[in-house]
Amino acid sequence: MILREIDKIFRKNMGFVFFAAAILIRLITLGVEEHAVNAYTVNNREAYLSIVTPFSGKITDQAAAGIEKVYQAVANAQVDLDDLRQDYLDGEISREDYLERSRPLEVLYNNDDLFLTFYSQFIYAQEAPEQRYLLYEDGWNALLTQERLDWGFVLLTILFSASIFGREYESNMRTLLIATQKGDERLAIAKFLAVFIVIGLCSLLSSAIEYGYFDLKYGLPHGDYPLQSLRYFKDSAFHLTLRQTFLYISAYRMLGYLLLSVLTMFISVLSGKTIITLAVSLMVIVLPYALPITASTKYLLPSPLGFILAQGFFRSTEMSEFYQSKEVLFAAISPEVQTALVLGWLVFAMVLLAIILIKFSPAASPRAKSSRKTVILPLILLVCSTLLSACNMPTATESQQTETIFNAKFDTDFTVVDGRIVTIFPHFLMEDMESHEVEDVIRDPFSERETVDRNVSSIFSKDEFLYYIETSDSGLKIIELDLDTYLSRTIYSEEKVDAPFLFSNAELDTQGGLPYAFAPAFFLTDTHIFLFTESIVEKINRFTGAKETIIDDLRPRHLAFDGEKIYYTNEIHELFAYDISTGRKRSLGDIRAESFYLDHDRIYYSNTDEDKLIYVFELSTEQSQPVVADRSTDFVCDDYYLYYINQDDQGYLYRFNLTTGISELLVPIYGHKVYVIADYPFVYYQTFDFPTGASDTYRITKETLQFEFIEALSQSTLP
Amino acid sequence: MLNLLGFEFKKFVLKPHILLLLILCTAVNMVGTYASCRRIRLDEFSEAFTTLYDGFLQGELTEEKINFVITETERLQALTADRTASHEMGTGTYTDFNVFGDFNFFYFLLYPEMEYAVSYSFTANEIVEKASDNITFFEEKGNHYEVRVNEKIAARYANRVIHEFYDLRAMDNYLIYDFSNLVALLVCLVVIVPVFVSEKEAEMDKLLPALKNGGGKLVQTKVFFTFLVVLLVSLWFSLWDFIGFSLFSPLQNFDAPLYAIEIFQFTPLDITISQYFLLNFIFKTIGLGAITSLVLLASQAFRKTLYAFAVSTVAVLIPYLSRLSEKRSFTFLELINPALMLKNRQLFKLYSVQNILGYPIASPWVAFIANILLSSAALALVILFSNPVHPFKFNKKL
Repeated sequence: MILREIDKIFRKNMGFVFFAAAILIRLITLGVEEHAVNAYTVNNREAYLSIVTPFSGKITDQAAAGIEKVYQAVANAQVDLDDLRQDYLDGEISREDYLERSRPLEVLYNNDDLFLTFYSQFIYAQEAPEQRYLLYEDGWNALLTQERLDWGFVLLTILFSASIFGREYESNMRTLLIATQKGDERLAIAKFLAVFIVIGLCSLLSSAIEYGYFDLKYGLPHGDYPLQSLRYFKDSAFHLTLRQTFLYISAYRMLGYLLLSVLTMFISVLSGKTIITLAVSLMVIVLPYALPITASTKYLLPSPLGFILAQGFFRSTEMSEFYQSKEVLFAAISPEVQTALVLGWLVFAMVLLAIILIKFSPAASPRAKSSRKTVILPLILLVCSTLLSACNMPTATESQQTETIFNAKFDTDFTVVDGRIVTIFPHFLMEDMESHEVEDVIRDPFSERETVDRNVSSIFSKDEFLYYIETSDSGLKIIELDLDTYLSRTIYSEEKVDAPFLFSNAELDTQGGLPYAFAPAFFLTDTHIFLFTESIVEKINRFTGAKETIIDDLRPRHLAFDGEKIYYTNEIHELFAYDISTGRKRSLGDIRAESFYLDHDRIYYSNTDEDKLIYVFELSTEQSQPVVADRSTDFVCDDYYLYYINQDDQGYLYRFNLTTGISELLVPIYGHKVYVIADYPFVYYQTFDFPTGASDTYRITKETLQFEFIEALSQSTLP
Repeated sequence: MLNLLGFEFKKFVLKPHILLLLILCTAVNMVGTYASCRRIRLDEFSEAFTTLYDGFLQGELTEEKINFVITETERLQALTADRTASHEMGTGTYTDFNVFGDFNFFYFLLYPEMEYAVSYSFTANEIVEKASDNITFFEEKGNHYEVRVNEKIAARYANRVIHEFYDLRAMDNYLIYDFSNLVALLVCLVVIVPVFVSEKEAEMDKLLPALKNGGGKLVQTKVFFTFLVVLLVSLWFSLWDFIGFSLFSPLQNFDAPLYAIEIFQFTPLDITISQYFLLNFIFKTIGLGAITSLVLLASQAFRKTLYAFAVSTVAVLIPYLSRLSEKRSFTFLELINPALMLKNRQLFKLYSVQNILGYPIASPWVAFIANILLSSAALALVILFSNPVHPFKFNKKL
């Protein structure tokens, strides 16, 4: 009898279609929503895991000593590396010895931010080592620190529960059924059990999908560590392990779904009207959810919503941090209150079930209603798919790539578009190459210069168009602008979902904005956008928007592109070439470059192993040789000269003649960046004073080597 | 027609369970307004602000008031600068706290509010100046669209001044209250889903076409009935919102310009707050109407309440849960999203225009027309499906 009812739930009334739709909705919402993870550790997961894994678990004296030792090593890495290089340059150690010993130091130095993230976790755990363990926590944060409402399964519960009795009323089967032998309480109880089994399994499935998703995406290691290991739950009253917490949350959710089901069946039997049943049950969940009240109050309202959310039962009280504020952001729900809630609801549910039993079983008035079997188009799926699929896909044709060389370090903030020099530093400005007249690029009367400067993080020039990236709180956009007609269009946009508040990231956030080098930058081909943020390079199809990560170990902004290959260095300065058509990546010799500049068939680079002297690497022969006997990390070149900021001479600007091999001083001012434009009689030179943010720009005439200060392209201090 | 309409009301609205539900929903909405108002009252400086506002600051912005706020802020800043002042509670002049509380009250609340009101005319002027510059710039470039945009901006934002110091905390809160939209939507859902489905479930649809008033006339009546329900529900909840907010937090300064509220700093509207109430109501009702038309279509397309409801819920929740924020220009999907009409402040916060054939058309109007078209399309389908001899009678199978 129970099995027959279960069978009916799925077969009748499109049960199976609704079930499939609910799973689909669950997967889509999990995929679309922003997760409470630390993006930095997620992007560098491998490296971070190698830091965390050796120390996972309770902090022993030995582990603490180990972590402090690594901390010292990280703190001293720069000095040690410098010493080692000096020893090597002085000839005190051999090249092999140097390479062998420098490599681990470089890894240490370049992963220092990652280690400090871990170290802050260590400091947190050390405050209460008994209940705070060390572990890789991104997966658990995503799984446990966010309140999720599974819309699909809520709807499914309502639909299944409304139809189990409603169906009999609608088709007037009830009058017939109660006359049969098994049509008494036994039928009603069979129906209860059938619904409970189905809803219970559905809720388990919903939880399992969630757990599986985060396990696959981030990994959920060490489920047996205490809940308090996560900073978010630092004051939680519950002494549970991570996995236990999730099990309890799942159990609460199951209880919530079952209560919702009882409530729905009760209304169904009471009203005998499907629409009222459905609407009231939906309101019972949706209205408290949307009500503008404190998050914790929602758990105490007369609605199964609290149990369906469940996560807040394990949180601790949280107050507003504003001065003397009495505002409670979340009031912890004590275990006693929770027990009372559960018991109260169980008693209430029993009463409801008893009423249903009485209502359904005795002879009742017949209704003049009949129904016919209907077949339905899976319209829900249709609505979902039309609303979710936004783009159409014109066929992309692979066309000739441009041959312009792109060096991220320079070309993302200084470029030439159609007779104008465009720069984003110190402001987003354009200078006419003939008249040298300077004007604002963004003409919006509503945006202030500071906002524009903060939001536009990279520019690019292609086919006489200016492209720039504009970031905002809601995401990022790449805009194409024709400087002649000032017609613009957005060629790519990425909406960012609100990142949920996360305790463990609070400290990272307060360190101020991300360093400039981490802001997103990009370059384009006719078919693809290559977007690079921090250590990630993403390849985005301009027509379909399809996105894939092609490089994940980039040293921020150390990248160049010649139309076919991306050249880049990783965190330990190793140089690679990535072919964008084949997707193959290749190491280039044994080169380690502090910075590099791609010319047509050669790469000039600052040799990390040779005290940052400028070397050249011929791409055709793959041979490398020294060029300039000065140290420098900022250099550009045209066909005749290499312009470089000489670290051996107070950071002054020098020029090296590539034919004669003679260096000469151009500007005796401590500089930051130099920009050269092919076939243009001027070189631009920019200074930057770090503490004040002041920056001066000079225009140097190549012929006469005279330089002049350009006030319009300079700023006295940071706004 | 009137007679038929009366029957529809009897059938779908004047039922005890519907009326009970309406009362419950209204009560829940009142809880919502109360919770929303409570938020401001909980603010630690709320009382201090009210006292100072009622006693001295309200009314025309005079030199005396401006100087008072500036000198007091500076005085308190000097007092608290070295952190040696007494931390004892209850020693504050303005707040219940101490001199640090006083300082925070002036520095974080009063001073910025005053600064906003005083400097508004400069902000607006700057916009006008930049726009005027742009007109010449774009004329040189031959970009007529941008010339038109900037001409409009220069005209729109000229001569804007805030003359008085207003207490708009309650008003601000009232204009961002969204909860009643959801309640109204759900009420419309309950009433409208059965409009066609119930006839089919009772097999009345077979009988109705045979009656004198049963064919096209009945469908017309049902469509008209839907509109009337939307209008009444929208009016009902707008009224209760207003009553709720007036009760729980004193709404005041109805005649202040809309841009006196900081979230509307860049609004293109040059109207008072009370005029915006009316505009808000019209836009909300149109949005509600568009969603309800889709619900009516679902009711027409399906033979079972269960299916019509499931599809309607998705049609209600997807637009409602979508993220909407203010923009200078909206995409097509956003403009046609009825939820944008419900949360229409996002349309009015910035100067938003759509480029239509080289002419800048205000986004609110485009959204308005898009939603009317959406409703019309849905209703056209409703009427088409109800014709017993229409060529694609696919709902026979459903």
